[in-house]
Amino acid sequence: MSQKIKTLLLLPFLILSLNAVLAPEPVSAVSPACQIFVNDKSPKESQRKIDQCEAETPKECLGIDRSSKPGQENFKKCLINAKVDLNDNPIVKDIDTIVKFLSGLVAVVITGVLILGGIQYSMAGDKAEAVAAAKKRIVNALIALIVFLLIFSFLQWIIPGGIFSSAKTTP
Amino acid sequence: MYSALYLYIDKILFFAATIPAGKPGGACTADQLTKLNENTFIFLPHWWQYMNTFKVDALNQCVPYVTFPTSIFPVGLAVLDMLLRIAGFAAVIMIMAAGVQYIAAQGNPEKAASARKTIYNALIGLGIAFTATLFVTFIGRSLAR
Repeated sequence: MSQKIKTLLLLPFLILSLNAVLAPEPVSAVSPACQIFVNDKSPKESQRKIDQCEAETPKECLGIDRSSKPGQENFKKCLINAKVDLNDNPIVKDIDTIVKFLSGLVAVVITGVLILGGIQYSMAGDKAEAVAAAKKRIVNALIALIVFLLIFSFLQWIIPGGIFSSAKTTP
Repeated sequence: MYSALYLYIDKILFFAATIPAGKPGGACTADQLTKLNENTFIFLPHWWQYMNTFKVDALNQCVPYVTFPTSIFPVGLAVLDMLLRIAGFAAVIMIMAAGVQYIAAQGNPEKAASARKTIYNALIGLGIAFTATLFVTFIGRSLAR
């Protein structure tokens, strides 16, 4: 009972620490690239700034307070023309790494268990119980493989765009 | 990828009307739509099959844009379509199983009769499922246009 309570108390800290590891670095509140539009009035000047924004730091256009009035239209143009690539986003990168690592791990573990089961089978000799245990291990590994493949294709089907294939799309 | 996370980012959808097609937040191009529909699962349709609202998300992918009251009907139709197709698939499997039973009956009239009855009922079920799928597909496609 007390063990359970301890686990429950620990859980938030665990989640928080995980959050701290996975959390993205905060985008700087005032980014020079697009903040320049905020107090903008002459069209020539703003066009120059838009070109500069497109050329130099397009990614910094995201994550900026856009609530200002005068330069808002130019700011929108800057954002539209900016090439956004969220594949560089820290959250996406972390999720991508974790998913790739885990799905690679599945293959490794299943191969290891199959080899282990084979060794067990060959070491069993004429003991019926040992043979049964080895067979059970191999069958379980194969079931795990099939379930993994099914879940993989199911996720590819149900998530728009798929989860594994299309991370590399660029504008 | 992970589109659901980023679809609703206000930063991008805030001025969606002004964004040209193919850009994040704008309408999808034909290439992106075909790419969206390329992953299929055995014989089932996608859940966005009958929707007609799509947008480009922050990862430059086309994703279905779900709004609460209006998207219920097309998504519900797609789910109905999935269920009906599963029913048809089950009917086909029943017919196969009953055929094997029929072969294995070996002149036993009771077994043969039960197998025949199973085939008959499964055929009725298949017909109903097929007709219903036709109706659902017709309604869904008319809606999506």
